[in-house]
Amino acid sequence: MSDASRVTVQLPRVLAQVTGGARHFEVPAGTLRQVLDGLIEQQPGLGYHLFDEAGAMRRHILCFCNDEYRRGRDGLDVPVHAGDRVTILNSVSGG
Amino acid sequence: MSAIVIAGTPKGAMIYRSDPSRERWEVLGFRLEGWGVTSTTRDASGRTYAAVNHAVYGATVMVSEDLERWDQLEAQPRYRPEERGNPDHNRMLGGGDPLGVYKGDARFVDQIWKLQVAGDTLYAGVSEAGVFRSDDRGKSWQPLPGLNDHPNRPNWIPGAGGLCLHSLLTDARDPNRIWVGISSAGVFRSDDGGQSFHQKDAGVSRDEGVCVHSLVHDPEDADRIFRQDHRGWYRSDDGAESWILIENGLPQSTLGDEHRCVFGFASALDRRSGNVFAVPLTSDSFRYPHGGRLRAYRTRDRGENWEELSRGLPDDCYAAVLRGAMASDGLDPGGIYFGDTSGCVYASPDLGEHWARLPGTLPRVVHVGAYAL
Repeated sequence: MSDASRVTVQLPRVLAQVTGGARHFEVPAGTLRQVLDGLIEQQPGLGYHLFDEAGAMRRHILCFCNDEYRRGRDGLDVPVHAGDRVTILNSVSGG
Repeated sequence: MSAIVIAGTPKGAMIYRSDPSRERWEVLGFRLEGWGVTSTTRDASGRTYAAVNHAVYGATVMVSEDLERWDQLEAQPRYRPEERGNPDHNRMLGGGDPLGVYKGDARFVDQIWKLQVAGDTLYAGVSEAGVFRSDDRGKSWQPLPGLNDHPNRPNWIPGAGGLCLHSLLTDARDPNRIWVGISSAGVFRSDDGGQSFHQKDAGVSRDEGVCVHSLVHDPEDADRIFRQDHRGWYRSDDGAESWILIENGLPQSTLGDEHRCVFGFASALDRRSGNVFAVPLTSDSFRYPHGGRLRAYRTRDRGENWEELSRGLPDDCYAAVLRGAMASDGLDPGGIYFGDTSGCVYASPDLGEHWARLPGTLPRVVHVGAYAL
């Protein structure tokens, strides 16, 4: 059951390979960084794929909050409110 | 017995299973969809490990007990945040950052080029060049400091595919001995379990760097090593202390700097017969089979003489065969397999005497693994 203080995170299909097939998670609201930390706490294997060795978010990952792009000039320190839906996508190019 | 063949591509892996004759093949499926499959290895229990890679989400290792379900290992080989990367490599590959998000000089595992089981140890050879080992089936990884902290590391020159450690050999009789091949830093050997590595390229032609392309040997006869280099085919009989040219019967071409030699990437060795296989290409400037005729070559006398193998291979192929895309299955007689960059996979059940295409046209084949089932 959905908790009013939580947000929903949706993963791209390719990352479901490392979560045993799950693509939707509920984690506590906070900043985008805190939301991602909460996601990795539930699914530690995602940490390798969202952040690199230097601690930076991999550069072609896109984060949307309720369909609005939220990983921009302010990085990950932007608020995500309870009930919001965070969608993680990646840039797509090539053949 | 039958064979399993795994053809790794940038978009997943096609997995095939043969009947006992290895004349008929069943497609088990296209697995690990969306991930580039760059290397596989299989342990004595039948557990299969796959190194996978994604342009956005990085490199990781998957494991499967049944070739159907794949799960990520608990831990992954990674550099420490304080380790400094090779600036040229970072400019060439994923560590570079036009947006300024990265600091730019960290060292990243951007691809796992080689996974190898040796006894109870799982090794990972990675790009940016380094080696990690796991002694607990992937629950944890330890760097091999002699290579990852090698004192000459700042002088290593990346090849066209980056500074990658793509070849790794072990000695079945002495687990402390390990050989690695790095483009284009050369071949290095450790005699102390990875605490130190020393460069071993005496006798090999070199230009700016030392660009080894692939290494094969029999771990039970570890000191005899075969080497497809950017600048020719070589053999060592003394554990890489010295190298001699073995090109009699192989087609040569002229490299961009006018050096004449046998150019190519792929190699395989059948342990039962000792036969070694190669697929030479036309020079570093063109990189397709000589005259468009796709041919494997075999030596039955340790490289003293090579013979062309053509039955079943096409006369109109302008694709390349990459360094990881050739394998032997260990059965009797040895099955030999290779894939090309146009997505074709070829199989021979009889040490290269006859070849047939396996089903399907795949994305570019970057890896072929073959295993007795």
